[in-house]
Amino acid sequence: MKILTVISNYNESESIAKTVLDVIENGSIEADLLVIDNCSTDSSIEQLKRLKVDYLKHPVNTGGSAGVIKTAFAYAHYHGYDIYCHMDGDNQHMASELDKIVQPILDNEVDVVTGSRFITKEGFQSSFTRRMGIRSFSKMMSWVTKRPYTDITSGFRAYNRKAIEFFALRFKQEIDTIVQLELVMHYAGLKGKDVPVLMRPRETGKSEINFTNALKFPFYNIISLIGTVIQNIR
Amino acid sequence: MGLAVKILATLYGLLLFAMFIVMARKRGIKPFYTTLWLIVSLFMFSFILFESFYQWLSQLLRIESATLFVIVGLISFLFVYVLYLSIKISELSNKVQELISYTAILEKEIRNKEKTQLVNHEDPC
Repeated sequence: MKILTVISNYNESESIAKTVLDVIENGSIEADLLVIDNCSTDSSIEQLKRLKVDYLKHPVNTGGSAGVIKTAFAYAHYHGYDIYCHMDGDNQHMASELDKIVQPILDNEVDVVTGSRFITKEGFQSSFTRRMGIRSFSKMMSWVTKRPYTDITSGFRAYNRKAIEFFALRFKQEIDTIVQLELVMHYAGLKGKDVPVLMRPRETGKSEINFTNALKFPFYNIISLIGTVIQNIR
Repeated sequence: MGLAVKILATLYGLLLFAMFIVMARKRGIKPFYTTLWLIVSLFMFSFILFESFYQWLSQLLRIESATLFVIVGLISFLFVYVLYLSIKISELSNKVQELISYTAILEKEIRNKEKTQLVNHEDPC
């Protein structure tokens, strides 16, 4: 079974080395490691060169982590991977928890697994306002798709070959939001589930969700939700 | 139709015509769009030249006046055109994402190849 662990990175020079070393030293699964850099303007690439880790560098910034996910699907398909695990470069996701998101796929239980902080409510739980936002969107998605979501914005995920092939070969559209990604998977018949994982708080760097993005987030995601429901891509 | 509307339509038509000429020659705009905007500017001129025809058409469609008919026509055209552009932008955006992904993969392949060549060059055994 060929497994690929992808770390997405955008201007995370202060934490990318920690994240990479965490996967190398504490990774609970046997997997190849790849970092996808979304055209960082800091010293991230120098750090990756120093660590001698495999990396891809986007020639231009795609605006969000969804663009990195698209590239990861293309890469995973091109190199014939069976499972693709995704982690963020801010060192919030723990490599020791990777087996938890991979196991349901190895058991042929589902096609996509999301690591959720909010099932057992242990470890880092995020701020109150952000938790409320995540909870509202998780509820909304659960209502639309009739499958329970607990941590819709979590980037700690694992996809099987069926999902990789769908996104690399069949779904040729740009992914704008995580809500769109989830809905497209639902309409494509890809089964998913959330599993409890532990996460760490962000130690350094800036979160993608600042004040402006926090205002944009519900707006874009609602538009994305309505648009994707209308498209109902199968 | 009032003289003021006629003058306004003529000026608007001339402006569009001049813009289309400049865009076609300097900005490398696609022939399809050049033709499209030529048609729009000609439509503005036809509004003055064939006023009676538009009056007859607006009466036929029970639209109050020829001016209103032209405005409704132009707004309808713009709606369709914006919709068409939305489709084009979406298509281009999807293609750009594909290109970004495959350029990054290709760049890594080249980097790996160069590294292998360098190792082979340093150690011919």
